Amino acid sequence: MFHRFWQSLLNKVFLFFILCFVTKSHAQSEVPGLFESLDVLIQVDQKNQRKQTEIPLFDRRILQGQIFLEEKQLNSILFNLPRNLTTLGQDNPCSLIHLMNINQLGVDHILFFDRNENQLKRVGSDKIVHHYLNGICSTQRALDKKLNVRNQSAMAQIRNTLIPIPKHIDQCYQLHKALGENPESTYFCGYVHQVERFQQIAQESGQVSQNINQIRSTNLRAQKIIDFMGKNNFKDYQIFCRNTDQPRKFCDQIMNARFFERMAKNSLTLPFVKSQCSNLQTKSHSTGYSTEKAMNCIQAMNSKPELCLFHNPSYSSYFPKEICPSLEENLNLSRLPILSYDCPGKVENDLAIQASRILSFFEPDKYNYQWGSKDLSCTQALTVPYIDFASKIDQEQGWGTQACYKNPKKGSRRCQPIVFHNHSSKNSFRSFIEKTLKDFQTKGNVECQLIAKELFDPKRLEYQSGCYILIEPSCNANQCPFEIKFNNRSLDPLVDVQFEPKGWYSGLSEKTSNFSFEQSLIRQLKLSSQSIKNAKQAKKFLEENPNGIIHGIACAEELYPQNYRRQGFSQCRPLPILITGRDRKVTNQNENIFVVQSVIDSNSSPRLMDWSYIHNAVHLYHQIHPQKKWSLNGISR
Amino acid sequence: MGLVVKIILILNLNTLLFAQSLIPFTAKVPTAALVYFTKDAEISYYKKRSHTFDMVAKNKTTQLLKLDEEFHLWPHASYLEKRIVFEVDPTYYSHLNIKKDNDLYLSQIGSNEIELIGRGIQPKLHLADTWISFYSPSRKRIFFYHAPSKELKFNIEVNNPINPYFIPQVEMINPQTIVYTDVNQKSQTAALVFNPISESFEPLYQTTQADSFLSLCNAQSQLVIADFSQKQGNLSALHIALNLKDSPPYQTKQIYQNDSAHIGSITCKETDNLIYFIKSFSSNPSSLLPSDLVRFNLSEMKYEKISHNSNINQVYLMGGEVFASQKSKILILNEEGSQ
Repeated sequence: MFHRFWQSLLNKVFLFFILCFVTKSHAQSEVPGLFESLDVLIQVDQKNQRKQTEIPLFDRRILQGQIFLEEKQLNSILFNLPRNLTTLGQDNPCSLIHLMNINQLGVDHILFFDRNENQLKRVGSDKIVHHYLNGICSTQRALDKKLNVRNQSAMAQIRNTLIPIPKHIDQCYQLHKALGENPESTYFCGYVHQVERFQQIAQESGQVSQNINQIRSTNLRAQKIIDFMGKNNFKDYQIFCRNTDQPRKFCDQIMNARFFERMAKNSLTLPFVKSQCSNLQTKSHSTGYSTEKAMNCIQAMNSKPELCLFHNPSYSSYFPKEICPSLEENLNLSRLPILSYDCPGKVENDLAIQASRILSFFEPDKYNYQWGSKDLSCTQALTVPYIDFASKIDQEQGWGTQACYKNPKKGSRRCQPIVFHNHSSKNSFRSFIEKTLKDFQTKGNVECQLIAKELFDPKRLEYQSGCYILIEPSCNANQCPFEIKFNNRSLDPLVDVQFEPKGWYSGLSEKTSNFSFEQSLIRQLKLSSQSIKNAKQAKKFLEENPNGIIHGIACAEELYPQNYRRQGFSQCRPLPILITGRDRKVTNQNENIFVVQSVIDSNSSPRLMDWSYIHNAVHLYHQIHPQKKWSLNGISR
Repeated sequence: MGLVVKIILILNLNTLLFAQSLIPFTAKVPTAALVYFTKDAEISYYKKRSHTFDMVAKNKTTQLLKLDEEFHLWPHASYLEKRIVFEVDPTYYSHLNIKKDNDLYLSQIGSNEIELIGRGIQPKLHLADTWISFYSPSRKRIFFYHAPSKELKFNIEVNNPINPYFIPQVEMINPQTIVYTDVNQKSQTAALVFNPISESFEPLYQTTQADSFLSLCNAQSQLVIADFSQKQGNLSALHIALNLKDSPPYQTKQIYQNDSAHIGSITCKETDNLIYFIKSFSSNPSSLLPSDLVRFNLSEMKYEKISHNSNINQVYLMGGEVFASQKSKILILNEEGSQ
């Protein structure tokens, strides 16, 4: 709103700049102004040189304005602003006043032509600033107070209000736009500019005079500003302020430079970094994992790009992945949130993996899982969203793993879909057994634990009582040989688990279409869907739907030709894929390269693929589909 | 169905101009239904909408399989065309899981009989179609089926502790010398030689780069190992095994090296000394395109480009013929044109 308001006032405001222009504040003020390139201003400037001594000081009447500012003159002001601040100044005239206030225009006088008196006049920029801040730019005055480096009470708030982390490139463009429209950005950019100038002065002083006091004082002034803004904020604004008019460059820099660093500093995402660097960790590191150690890991990733090719075996997925810089770039381009590090290799149901990722994308707050690889926890994000959804649409057989308990006294049988992991969520095998034990235990609830069979020793006191579910190393989320020990008694005969999945991604007939995952998803989440048949459509969809993704089924042989070797033209191992972004690097603008997240890659290792390969892979699946269904669709809210 | 299958090869003018020997493959019936046809086009195999799988020979249709629900299958046959193996996924649409074991059926080409020989993926015929190897991801084992005796003779446990999607490549030099690929704890891929009688394993070749992928093939009794990287700037190389029929230690010799991205596996015919693979000719590190089919001649030790700016991303053998996937089309190598 603020932005629009000021835009509408742009012309009015410029009335105040009555034929004004800016001169350098240097002592040698006879030096011509900054606008030599413009004919009109050259003429005015020549007059200025002649009449400078005669120019009266600030006259309020003139600032009330009767004469409009010529476009050329406005252009001149903008032309002489530092390039990165041009956009800010252009969008918000009060920004110019602020920039003048913090001495960023490099001027201390404004010259303007007073038509009433038919002469040029000179006004000190401090008076101009004072006038505007008390008038039309009063909002700016409040900001001036708030964002003043001396305002210690505002410091904590400013330091803690960080630029939000864009999840993907399109959000980054939105962020760039929002920063450009935010009047506070002008202040921060002014500070960034000041710090850079101080740093330059300190450097030059060091080279020329080695004046330690001057260097120290300049550095202190710079540091004071950095402290006020906060180091992270300062770095982020530094990137923004250098690229106020170049959103693509801003996004390339802010996302590429910071992804792993942000991951390491965020306690939620710290285990992601841990998983990448697990092979660097000593045993003593494995229990505690501080930000400091994470930063060491980031350094290792930066110096050893191949570190990211492989993963901790606990986070089972396809490899090799990408080298660290590529991985970081792909993650920045991908829209899929990485709230937890997942392990598709431990799930025997690719529909569940794909569905869970799509559901988490559209309803991130609902499916916010903790990190962890222990005891199959990394499968949670790939299973529970789908199991919840399947049960909601009455398609529980889509998950396929079902546990049943036969009550020996009543003869009744209770069955439910379960997933093998150690969490206490309602569909975990552990919860199922805990519920089952209520038949045996009269007092209180029993808590069970999933533990590796090799660790269980019935002779040890701690295992003599309580509930233990012993699992084999070969366990995955769907299938797991197990033994149940309750107070050292076996409950195995009373519980059986079957794995018979029957779930359709998209329908084979009208009948199956209705209860297929795809149709149910669109119905339940009220999504719109459109077919994506070529690269142009894919690009357009991603551009027009910043919160949408493209999903479908492709042949693995075409996307991973190294691993999936074709043996006949009818061969196609169906592989659900998501297209979660597009390579928007300047150098690849004319290429059709997309970010692909397939069900065999972990969510932290999306890949860049040429459209030609994606299309080929989807087309071959389409050809063998009984209804010749084209599977690639863009879905959005 | 009773159709006499005529395979029609249509020469496309563009293809002739730019790619001397790769031509579009078309058949009178949709390729989606056609599963396999013999080189003389006398026998063909089809999947039908009625959940059945048929063979058509001498204008007579025989039903080979009928399943309860919509399934999908694909074939594997060697250039000899004595036997054929079908990998059948009976829950192709109702259980998506790329790691699952499929049903493997074996038949003599032209025979009305078909037998289930095991559950696994990626079957391969060896030694004049008398042996079939296949891999079971669920058991992490490579099984070896002896067709004349109808027995699973032995199996190899694959180590691979880290990549659940890894599919080992297998070549049988003779019944006592089997070469296969495996991955170790440090993510290094290696080609190993296994002797089923002594149950011994010997190393043959190990990748030198972290993101390399090994593939094997047998060209005129020479075992070729491709150590390919899909990254521009990394080295890709071809090696031949020197003394597989002797005692270990086994040795290899590098015969080709290049730093462009190499895509997929190598393919070679047992009957000649030509190795086919796909190489990227891209100047952009983010893109693999254009990518073209390349042929390496083992006798002359040199390679030549077969296609030009074709964006090919798969090359494979079917019944001894070289096929390629390109921009949603199936291409076949026209041998005459290539000579």
